[in-house]
Amino acid sequence: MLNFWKRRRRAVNASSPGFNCPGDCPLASCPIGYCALVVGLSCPAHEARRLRTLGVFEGARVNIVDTRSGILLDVRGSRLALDVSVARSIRVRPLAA
Amino acid sequence: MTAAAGPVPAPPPRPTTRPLRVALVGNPNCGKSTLFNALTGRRQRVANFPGVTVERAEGEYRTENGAVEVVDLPGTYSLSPESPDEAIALDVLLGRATGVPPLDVIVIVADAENLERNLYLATEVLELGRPTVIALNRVDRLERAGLQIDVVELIHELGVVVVPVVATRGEGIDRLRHAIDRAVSLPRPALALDESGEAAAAPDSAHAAADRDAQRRYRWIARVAERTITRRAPRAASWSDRVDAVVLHKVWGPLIFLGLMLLVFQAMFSWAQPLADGIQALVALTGAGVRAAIPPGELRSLIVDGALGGVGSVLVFLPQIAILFLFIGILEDSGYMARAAFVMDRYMRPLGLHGKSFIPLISGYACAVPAIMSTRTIQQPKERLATIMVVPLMSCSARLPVYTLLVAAFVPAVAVGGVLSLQGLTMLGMYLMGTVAALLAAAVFRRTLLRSETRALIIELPPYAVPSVRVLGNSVWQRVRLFLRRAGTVIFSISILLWGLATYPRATPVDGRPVTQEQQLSQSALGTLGHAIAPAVRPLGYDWKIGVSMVASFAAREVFVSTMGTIYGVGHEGDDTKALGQRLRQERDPVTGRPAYTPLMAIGLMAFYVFALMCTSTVTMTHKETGGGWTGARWAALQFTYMLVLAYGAAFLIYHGGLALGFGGGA
Repeated sequence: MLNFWKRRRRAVNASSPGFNCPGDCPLASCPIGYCALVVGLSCPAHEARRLRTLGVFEGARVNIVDTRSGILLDVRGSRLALDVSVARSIRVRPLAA
Repeated sequence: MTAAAGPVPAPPPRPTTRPLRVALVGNPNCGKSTLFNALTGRRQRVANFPGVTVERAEGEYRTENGAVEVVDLPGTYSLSPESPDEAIALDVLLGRATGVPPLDVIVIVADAENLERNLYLATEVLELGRPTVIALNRVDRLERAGLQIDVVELIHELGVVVVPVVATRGEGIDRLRHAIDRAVSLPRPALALDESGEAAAAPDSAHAAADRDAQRRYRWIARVAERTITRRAPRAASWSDRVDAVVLHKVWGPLIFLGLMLLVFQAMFSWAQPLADGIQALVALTGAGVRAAIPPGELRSLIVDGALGGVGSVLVFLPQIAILFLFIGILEDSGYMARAAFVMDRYMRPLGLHGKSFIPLISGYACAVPAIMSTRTIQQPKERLATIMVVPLMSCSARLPVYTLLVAAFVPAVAVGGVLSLQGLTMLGMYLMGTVAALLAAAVFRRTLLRSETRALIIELPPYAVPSVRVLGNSVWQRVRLFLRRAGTVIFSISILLWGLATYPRATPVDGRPVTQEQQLSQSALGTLGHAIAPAVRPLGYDWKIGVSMVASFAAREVFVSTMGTIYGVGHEGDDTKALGQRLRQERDPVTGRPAYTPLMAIGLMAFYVFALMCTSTVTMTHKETGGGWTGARWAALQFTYMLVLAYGAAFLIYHGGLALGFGGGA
């Protein structure tokens, strides 16, 4: 358990500088700690609507809190958990760590 | 949503004789239920909306202006009528839900900590143009979250009264009640999301229109937020994120959840037992009192064996129901349930079930009745139905007496591999057989009758919180009351009916000797039924005695043991399982003289009890929870039938397969 904590610490610290994404990319490949601008939702309409009512819409800013078990987002102060297949259908523009 | 948002005709001014009708609407996890409790206190009841299984809680309180009726709508993120919950909320708000009188005032419950997201639903509700009050809940947490909200400015922006409250501590409730009273006489909200240029864009797909609508709302919300919310410090990684890193972890997450489930299971199995024993002792004591007061005869038998027996069979479930719902309440209100659903969804999805299906399935090991009630936490109707349909396949505690009797009587107590006993392994095999069947049946149901498009896993994780004792107590009490009222009446009547079947017609004494219990049972209507189904159970290797016991145990499985006890005259007062087992082993076939019951037959019989739905309470619960009326009856009938077919098939295969393999010998 303790090792897991240490590894997590390292993972969080190491994730920020190495990532280089010039344009848009799927939310699923955005690293921990990044802020991203949502640019497109390519999932089925009912899923997209659900995402939008939860604050994930084109133009929204989200923070990537965790990516190791599904994707954990901070959306305007609320925590949203998505599975990777949903996160792949969300295109984002990474802004800054 | 936009189409439904047209202005609604204004309700007539409130006559003094009619109670004011108020609805609470808000996002899931915004503290709506707590606020509902704070507003209405103990005066509340839980029922379903007509025709659907969406729960509605109603309560009332009094002010100097008269009574106020409050209906707590299901938590929703928006008013797009997609899920049954949201469709019901929209119908009630528009005053077109059947069986729900039109509303006078809408109270939007908004979580202050999460105001922007909560305002999304608020914009949709305000567009309805009804008298509205916003209860800004959890304002006590703003300080810690580094937030400040300018309530006066918010009132200006939204055009309705905003009342800051802390529902958990009852703060601001009086002011909220006052605002509700006055809302009818205030001007209606007239929300204008402007941006006409946006709406004039070229017509395109509905997808894009919905998208623009969401963007339009959020843009408006962003402007309102800019004027009303001050963020002092950016939200740092909180301790709840650190907890989430562990409980959502791929390995630790499921392990932690399994550990918690083990605790719940243990509690339902062993903590509930003393309570259930206490209730049974109380019922027995009452029975003894009645026996002493009333001379032997029909009336005494009706009261003691029929009525008290029926009441006892219902009351015995209460401790398990209370304990399960106490735990579910703690898991839900602490915020952990959403995490568990996220973690377990990965494993339940291939079976077509929801992450939350896990809790009913595990609870099914203790008792299917509370397990079926607990499926209400699953919002997707088809996943919920599939869960209900398979839950009774999990071996519940009522099967244990049957397994115990047959295993003790027919499975030799030899060791396997030095440590494991064959009896224990047989028992484990029964549990495994039920579990595997339940999972497979779920997969089949979700690929045939209950097919639906795959659901994306998008779950909001509410902030962790300490559950309120009052809310917990209330929710447990509501479940207990619901169970007593609904199942109680039906199960009670069926118990009386079964008593009648077992008692009448009265057996005639032969040669002047008094009628034995066995004779009475054999000649009663129930016995006649048992003889009638004998040809049906003969292919499984059973005689009429087992037939009668099986028919009797259609009310409740454990009755099998006591009925066999009655037939063999071993009494059914408790510790006679051993004696009964002995008696079963000695029983000879009257024609061939060989043992009437063989281990092979016993295994087949156990398999029958693994699969068969022999429990009136479960059938009743399924009927109620799948919609009641004809719809519920169809689901309950389907459940009963498919499980009976499985049971018969399994018993048949085991018996004849075993015979073919040469296992038919005597014990």
